[in-house]
Amino acid sequence: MAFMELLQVSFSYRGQKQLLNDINFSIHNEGITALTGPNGIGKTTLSKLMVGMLVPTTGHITLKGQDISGMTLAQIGRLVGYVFQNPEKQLFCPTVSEEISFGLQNLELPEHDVQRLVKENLPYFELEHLAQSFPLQLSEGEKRRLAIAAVLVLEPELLVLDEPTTGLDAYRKHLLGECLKKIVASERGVFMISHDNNFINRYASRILILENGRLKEHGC
Amino acid sequence: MSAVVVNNLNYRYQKGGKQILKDLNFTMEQGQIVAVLGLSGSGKSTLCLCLGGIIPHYLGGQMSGQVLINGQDTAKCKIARLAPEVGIVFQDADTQLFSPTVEDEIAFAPENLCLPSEQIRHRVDAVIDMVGINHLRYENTNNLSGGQKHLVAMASVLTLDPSILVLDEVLAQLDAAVKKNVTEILLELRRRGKTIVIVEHELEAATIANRVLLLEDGLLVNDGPASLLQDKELLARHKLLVN
Amino acid sequence: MGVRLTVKMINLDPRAKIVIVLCLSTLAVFFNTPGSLLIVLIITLLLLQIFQVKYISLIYKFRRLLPVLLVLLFVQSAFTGHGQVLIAFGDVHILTTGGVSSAGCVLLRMLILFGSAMIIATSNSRDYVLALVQLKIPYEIAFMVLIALRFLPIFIQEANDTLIAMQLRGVDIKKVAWGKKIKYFTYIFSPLVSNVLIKANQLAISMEARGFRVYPRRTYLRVLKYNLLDYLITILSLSLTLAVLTLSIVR
Repeated sequence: MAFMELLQVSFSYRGQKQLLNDINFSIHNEGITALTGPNGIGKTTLSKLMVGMLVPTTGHITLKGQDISGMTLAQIGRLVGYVFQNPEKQLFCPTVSEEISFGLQNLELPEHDVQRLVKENLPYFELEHLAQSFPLQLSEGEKRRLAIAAVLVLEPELLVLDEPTTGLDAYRKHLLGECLKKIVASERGVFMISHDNNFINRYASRILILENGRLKEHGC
Repeated sequence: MSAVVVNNLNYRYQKGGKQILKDLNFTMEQGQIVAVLGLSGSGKSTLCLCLGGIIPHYLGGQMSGQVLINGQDTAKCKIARLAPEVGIVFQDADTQLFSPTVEDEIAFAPENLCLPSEQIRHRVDAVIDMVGINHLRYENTNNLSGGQKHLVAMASVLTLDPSILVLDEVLAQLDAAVKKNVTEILLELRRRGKTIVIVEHELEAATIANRVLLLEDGLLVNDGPASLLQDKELLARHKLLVN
Repeated sequence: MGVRLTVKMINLDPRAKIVIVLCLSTLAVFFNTPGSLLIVLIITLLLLQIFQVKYISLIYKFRRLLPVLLVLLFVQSAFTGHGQVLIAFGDVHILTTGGVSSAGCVLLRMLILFGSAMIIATSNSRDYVLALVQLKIPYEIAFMVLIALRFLPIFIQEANDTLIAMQLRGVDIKKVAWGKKIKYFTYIFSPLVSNVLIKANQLAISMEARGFRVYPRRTYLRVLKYNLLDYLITILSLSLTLAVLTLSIVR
C-alpha cells in the first residue's frame, strides 16, 4: 500500500476556474520526489491539499489507507511534515531550542526526553551554536533548517517542502541538499516543490510535472 | 564621465556593528552590463542601496568613502536629484506593488517626480509597450502571477527613466519564459545607452553581462570580463560553484 | 437608459459616494422603528441595484447571525418587557412585540450599514487616495491608508498559516483548554509582527527608491472632477436626509 495516495483530486478556489484537474498519484515514504512546473500553476495548492490545509473540491487523499478528510491537522502532522515557502511563518517560539521542543511537548513526552531529543537534533541540523537565538533573526538557510528540524522531531514519514531553495545561494543549496539526503537515509520520504532544475536534477529520485492543471510523470 | 564611481566605500549598519562593505573601489561605464556576484551576506544588496542613495539618505548607518553617480556625489546631492538617475528593482515583487491597478503602479514614480499628467501618461504608455504588458494595464496587482508581478515591478521602476538600472536578485527566481522576456528588455535598454547592474548569487543569471565583480564578505575579490565565469576553479574557491 | 445610468453611477466621484453612505448610515442609526428602517433598507438595495452590486450574497451571509439575533430576541422580550406579550411561561415573557421589533431593528441596521459600505467598494482604492488628497489631506497619509488596505488581507492569511503550522506540529486547537489556547494565539504575533516590520521596511525602501516624498507635492496621472451629476447627487442626498431628520424630530 502506498503511503499517500491522491485519487481523482480536483480543486478550484471559490469562484475561480479549476486549478487542479483529476490528479492521481501515490508516494511512498522513501526517496526525494520533486514536483515542478511554471509559476502560478497550482504547485503550492497541491502541497496544501496533501497536508489537509485545503480540502479537494472532488476526489480523495488517503494517508496509510485512511482518508485525511476525517483526520485533524494534529494527526496529519505526525505522519507528514510541512515546510512553507517562507519558513518564517512557522517559527513562532522565542528561542531555537523551544522551537524544536514545541512539537515534542505536544506529544506529552516527559520533559527529560524532550530535552534529550532537542540536544540530539540541534547538532544534526548544525544549529547547536544558535540554541538560544531568536529564530526570526537567523539567516535564510538557518531558518529553513530550523523549520525542517522543528517538523522532523515529530518523526513524520514524509516531509513536504515548498520551494526550499528560495533565497539560498549555491553553497547553502548544497548544505540543504545534503540535509535532505540525510533525512532520506533515515527511511523517510521527501516531497519537494521546486522550479530549480539544477537542484532537482541533482537530488530528486522521481520528478513530477504539473501543467495546465494535470500531472505528468517525468520520462513517461 | 563614468556612470558609477565607487571610491574607498566602507559601510556598517550600526556604529561598532559588523562591517558590511570593506573598502570597495570600482567604476562602471555607461552602456555596460555588470554582474555583481556573491553569496548571501556578502554585501551585494547593501551595495545596491548605496548606488541608489538609499544609503546614506534613508537608512543611516556608518558610511565612509564616496559613490558618484554620473559625477554627482550621492551623499551630497539631494535624493530628489538622485532618484531619477538610479532605478532599483528588488527581489520580492510583493513588497514593491501596492497600487490597485497595474497602471497606477507604473504611474507612481513619475507622479512623485511632479511631472505634468500628459508626460506621466506618455511615460506609462512607452514603458507598458516596451515591457509588453498592455493586456495587464487595468488588472488588479493582487491577481497577477509571480512572473507578471516581477514584470510590473520592473516597469514601475523604468518609468523613472533611470540611466542606471539595478536588479537586486531578480533574475534567478524567474521561470524560463519570463527570464527570456526580461533579458530581451535588458538588452534593449543597453542599446539605448543605459547602464545595467545585475546583482545575483546564481551564475546563470549573469550570462548577458560583459563584466563581472565578485564580492566576498564585503570585499571585492575579483573584477574582470565575462570570461571569468568560465574559470571553474576560481568560482569554486569563492563557493559560487559547488561540486 | 438603464445601462447608461449604471455606468454614470459607478463613475460617480468617490466623494459623492462617501456622502451617500454617510447619509444612509446616519438614517440607519437615527431611526428605531422597523418600518422606517425597512424603507431605508429598500433605498439602499435600490442604490446597490443601480450600482450593479450583487447584494444577494450579502443577505445570504447574514444567516450566520441568525442565532445571535434569536438570543437577542428572547433577551429583549424577557427584560425590556414593553409591547404585547405573545408567548409567556408563567411570569416570564418569552416573546413580546417589543422584543420582535428591537431584534428586527438590529438586523435591518446591520443590513443597511453593510449594504451602504458595498457602495464604497465600487470605486477602486486609488480613487479614494485621490479623493483624500483633493480634500487637502496630506498625500503621505492617503497612501498610508491605501497600503494598509492592500496588506491587511495578506497579513490575515499569514496569521492563518502560522496557526495551521502550529496544528500540524501537534496542537489540536479544538481540544486544548482555554488557557493554553490563549497562549497559542499569542504565539501567532511573533512571526506576524516580524513579517509586518520586514515588509514595511522593504516597501518603504522601494517607494523611496521610486522617488516617494522627494517633493512636498506630487502630481497625478488622473484627476477627479466633481461634475454636474456629483453635485446633484450630493445636494439631493444631503437635503433629503436633513429634511427627514428635521421632520421626525419636530414630530
